[in-house]
Amino acid sequence: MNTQNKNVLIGGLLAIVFVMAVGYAAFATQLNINGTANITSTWKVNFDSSKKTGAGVVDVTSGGSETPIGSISYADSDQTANLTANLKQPGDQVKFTLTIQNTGTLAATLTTPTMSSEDEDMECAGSTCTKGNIQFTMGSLSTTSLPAESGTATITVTASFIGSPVSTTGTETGSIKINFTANQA
Amino acid sequence: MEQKNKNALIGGLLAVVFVMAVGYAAFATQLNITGTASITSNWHVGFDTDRTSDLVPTAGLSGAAEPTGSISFDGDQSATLTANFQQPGDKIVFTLTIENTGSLDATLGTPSITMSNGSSGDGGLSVTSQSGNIKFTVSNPVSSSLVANTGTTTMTVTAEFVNKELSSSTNESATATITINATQD
Repeated sequence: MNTQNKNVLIGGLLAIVFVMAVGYAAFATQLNINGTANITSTWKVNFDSSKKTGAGVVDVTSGGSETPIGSISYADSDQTANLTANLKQPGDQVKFTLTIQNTGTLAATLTTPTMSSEDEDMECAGSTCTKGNIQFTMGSLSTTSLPAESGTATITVTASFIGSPVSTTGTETGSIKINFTANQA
Repeated sequence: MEQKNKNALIGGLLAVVFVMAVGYAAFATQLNITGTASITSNWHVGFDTDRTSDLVPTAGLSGAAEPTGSISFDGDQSATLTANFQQPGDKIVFTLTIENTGSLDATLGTPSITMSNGSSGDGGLSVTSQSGNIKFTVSNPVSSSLVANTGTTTMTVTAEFVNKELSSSTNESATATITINATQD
């Protein structure tokens, strides 16, 4: 084949290749997937922070002539309840009743609460923690199942001044914490 | 499947999984309760240890030397009374002051008196040595109720050489233990 014919052939082949490349590029299409996820439900389980005082919320029992004092405060978007008791004499008790409410649109279940203390002198076993003349007792949840929008449960915590009628002098202080979780049912 | 399509599909699936994971994590809430109890009162009932001279001796024989005695305290929870008699009829009346310096009201119980190798006597408030020569008698506190911080009362202990027609010529001593309980009002 003479040189001119070769050049034509090469040019033609190049053209074909060029066209094919262009065609191939035109035939390569990017597919896209757009995904949108919407959450239309609400999840809200916390303490009923309106319950701070009064019978059925803070109940005191006096062991003598003095009257013990108790108070409740809430924090962390009502997910933490802080209880404070000032005991005066043996036999004093302050019983706190906390209400957990489900105001969301999803049902919830509560896990079993556990009580512990960071105070190394506080001895905890099961639902009781004791340090000197101070004792905390944790009650069971009234229910672990909270239906959506209206479910409620209660739990009691009692602080007591235990011991004999003859007490030691000085100030005693004891602290505990109770943790449990609300999970979507 | 073309690589770009695979990449697009993988990206879309990852987005869906991410949204699902975020949604699941938001539906578990931890609830916390913290409790603090304090005992700030103090309990303190004891003898007034400054009163070491409240004793009245009486001689058993007119014109004879009076018996001698002393009061000492070991802390304010224990009082030691000492009497030295010379003749039958000698008597010493000791007066003890009890005070409540704590922040809780107190009630005093009925005292009890015992003597090793002795015998109980009238109404449980007296005791006599086996020889019959030495007798201790304790009185009830003038007031059994002691208000917080300021309440005081007194009680007496009478030690006497019993006046008998015939008495022993040897030295004799006897020790009585008197106990009185203070409880919270």
